[in-house]
Amino acid sequence: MMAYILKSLLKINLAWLVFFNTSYANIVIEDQALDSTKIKYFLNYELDNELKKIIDKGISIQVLETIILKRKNQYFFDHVLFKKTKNIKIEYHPLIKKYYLFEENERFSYTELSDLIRFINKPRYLTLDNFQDSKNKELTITWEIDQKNLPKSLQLSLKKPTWMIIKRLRHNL
Amino acid sequence: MRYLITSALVISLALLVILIRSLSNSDFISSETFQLLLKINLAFVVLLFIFIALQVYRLFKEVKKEVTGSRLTLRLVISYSVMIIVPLMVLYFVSVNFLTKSIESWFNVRVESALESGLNIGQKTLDILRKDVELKSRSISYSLSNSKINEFNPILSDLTEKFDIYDAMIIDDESQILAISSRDNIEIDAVFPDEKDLILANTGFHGKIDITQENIIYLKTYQPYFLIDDKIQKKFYLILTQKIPESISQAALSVESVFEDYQALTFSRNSLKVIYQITLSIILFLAILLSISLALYFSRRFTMPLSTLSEATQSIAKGNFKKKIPEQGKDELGMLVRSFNIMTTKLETATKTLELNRQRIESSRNFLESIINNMSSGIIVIDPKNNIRLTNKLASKLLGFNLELLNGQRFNQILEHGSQFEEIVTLVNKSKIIYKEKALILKFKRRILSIQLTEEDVGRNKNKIIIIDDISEITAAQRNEAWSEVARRLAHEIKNPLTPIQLSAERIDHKFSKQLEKKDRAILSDITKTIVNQVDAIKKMVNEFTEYSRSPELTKTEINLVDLINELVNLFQKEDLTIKILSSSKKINFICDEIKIRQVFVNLINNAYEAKKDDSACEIDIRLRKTKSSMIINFIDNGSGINDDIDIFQPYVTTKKTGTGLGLAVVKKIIDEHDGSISIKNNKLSGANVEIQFSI
Repeated sequence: MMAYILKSLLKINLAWLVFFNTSYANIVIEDQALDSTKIKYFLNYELDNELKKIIDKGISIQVLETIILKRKNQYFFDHVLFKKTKNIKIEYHPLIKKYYLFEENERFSYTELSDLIRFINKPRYLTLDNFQDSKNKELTITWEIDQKNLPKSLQLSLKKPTWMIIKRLRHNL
Repeated sequence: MRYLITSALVISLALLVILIRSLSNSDFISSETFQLLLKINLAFVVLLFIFIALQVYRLFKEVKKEVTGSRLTLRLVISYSVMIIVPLMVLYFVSVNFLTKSIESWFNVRVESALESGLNIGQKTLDILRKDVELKSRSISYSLSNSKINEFNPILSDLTEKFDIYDAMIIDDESQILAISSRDNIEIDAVFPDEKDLILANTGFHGKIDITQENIIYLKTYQPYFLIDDKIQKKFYLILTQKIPESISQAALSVESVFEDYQALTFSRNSLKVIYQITLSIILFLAILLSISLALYFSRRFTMPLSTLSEATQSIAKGNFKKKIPEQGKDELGMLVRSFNIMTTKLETATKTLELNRQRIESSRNFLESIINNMSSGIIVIDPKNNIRLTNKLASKLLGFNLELLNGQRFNQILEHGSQFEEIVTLVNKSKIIYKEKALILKFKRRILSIQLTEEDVGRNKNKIIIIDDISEITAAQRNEAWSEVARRLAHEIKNPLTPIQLSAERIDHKFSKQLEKKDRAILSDITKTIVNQVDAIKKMVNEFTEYSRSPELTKTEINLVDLINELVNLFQKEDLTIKILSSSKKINFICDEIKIRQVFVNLINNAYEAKKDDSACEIDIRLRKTKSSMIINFIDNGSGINDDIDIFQPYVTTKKTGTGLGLAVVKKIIDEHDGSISIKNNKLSGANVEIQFSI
């Protein structure tokens, strides 16, 4: 019964996608259990040329991944059911010509940036507790450059560069 | 509005300070907040601009409406603003130029090249060190390949010490650690090789440079080797880890860090310029708006006392001398206000005195005018420029036109009202004190006017005063008196011998007619008849003179004038005479001497009849009417009328061939004796109208 409810609730409906430099991105329901739902999300990200330049000049970039599950409310603010943020830091040391990726207290080093990007583009998984109501819910996953951790001079740019927001996915559950 | 502007200015300045601080201190504020701050600053600048624009617009409206002080305020605002804005603009352009040049100077090609060179030196140094470790690795592995497995540990310890290697490890192809040597007590996991590195080392030497999270640079080499005596040819890996000397490591990392910062700056070069320029522009606008608002404030403050003074001056100009300005400050403006208040007080006092004097003068003038208007003489005052300054009503009446219309105009203009005034004008122009009687011919009757010209000293100027008296009545009275005297004497001297002459003529005729022949008798009879007739005529004339000269001895009784006139009309029954009586009442009683009044009416009817035209019958309308204060009798005929140029009521004035000229003189005398008045004028068409008026 519960599974049926969840199944009916978790109708995958890709609301809209905004592509800047990504060739493909998606959210997929990987597995549904009685008490949880496993979601696979991924993006096939291609670095913006300007961002590549910035990284190659040794400026470290932090990508902020934000996952928000909201219960939609027609007449009032949406209610946030779940929120999780994660920092992914990309760093290049011109001295030793190496790229580093920092993710959840782990560090990965690469001699090529493409290897690093490939690592980023790997599918990611998220397990959400089921919310037992029939109201509309929306899952939003956003990847964006963490502006606060950019050098101040870059932060002061009045016009937000195109590479600032990498990707935002919305999914009605 | 003033408080709004002040608040907006304070907030803007505070925001500006925060903005500048956030520019200089990266940790002070986040980039998003900085942008928000920038936008709020801009919004406040716009808000302030609107406020000040409204103030300026209000000032322009005041100027258009010609509000006192607004023009001066506008001038001061413009002056103050220009004084401040021009240097500000110069400073702004210099600052922007300086800033742009400064930012550009950060990105000097030589600096970039030096940083890249520094980085290259670091890279080369690390390469050299890597090659050195590679050589050492090859050398140690060579020594190890000639040894036995159980000798690995001592040889490794010995060689690492000899080659000054930081950490060393030997593992087999199954990743079993066979020997290890380290300066520090290292954790096995920390130095354990990556699987990827081992794969790379599988084919030959593999070396890498890495950096720890604590920013320590180290070299790691993987050298595969075999034991010479081993027939199985088992592969071993010598893994060396060599820390880069701290001095080199720090220097290299420092160069790298500066290089990164420089690159970050390079990327945001234009943004930085724009940001600083915007910040400077906000400062400029704020300074300009601040200066304009201060200019507005100080200009209004400066012009307010002047405006108040100006308004007060206008109020005084309108006659309000009670206007006082509140005193403020001890500066020159305060002194001016105090002086103004003293002046208004004095002016008020002076005005009150002046008003009092004016009222006195007005009162005197009214009194004088009252006297002049009620004077029995006509007065004309002429100023030294020969303009008529003052006249009274009697003067207009005597001269026969409204002199008031000529007030302020040249006296000569009275000539427009008749050439008879020429002599008066001539006399006035001579400017001498003259006493002269001037006879003016007026329209209906001959009046005698006495013109007296005197001069009144008014400082250096002399006003001329013409006094006009109607002396016609006096002259007439004098003449009447003279005529009465003549008549009395004539009556006395002529009347007495007349009867003897008449009797003598009759006796001559009676006595000598019989003695003469018929022809001579006839002649004598004619002569004596002539004498008798002429004596009768003289007697009649003398009787009239007697009547005229007789002193008034009236025997007054109350009679009905209507009845009297009806009775008289019955006596005048002639074919060519028609008399109509029109009375407002059948009975109009009047106390008078009936005989004399009867004589008046008879004379007037006779005169009217005698004045009839030869070819037409005489028609006389006698109209009687009584008012509250008078009784008026008109005798209107259709005769030939009278000559306007002569006074027909004067004795010996007649237009008839046979009249003595005393009829109307006697009529006038009787009317005068009854305190009445008589006048005569021609009708519009024909005939004359004699009007008798008695006061009741």
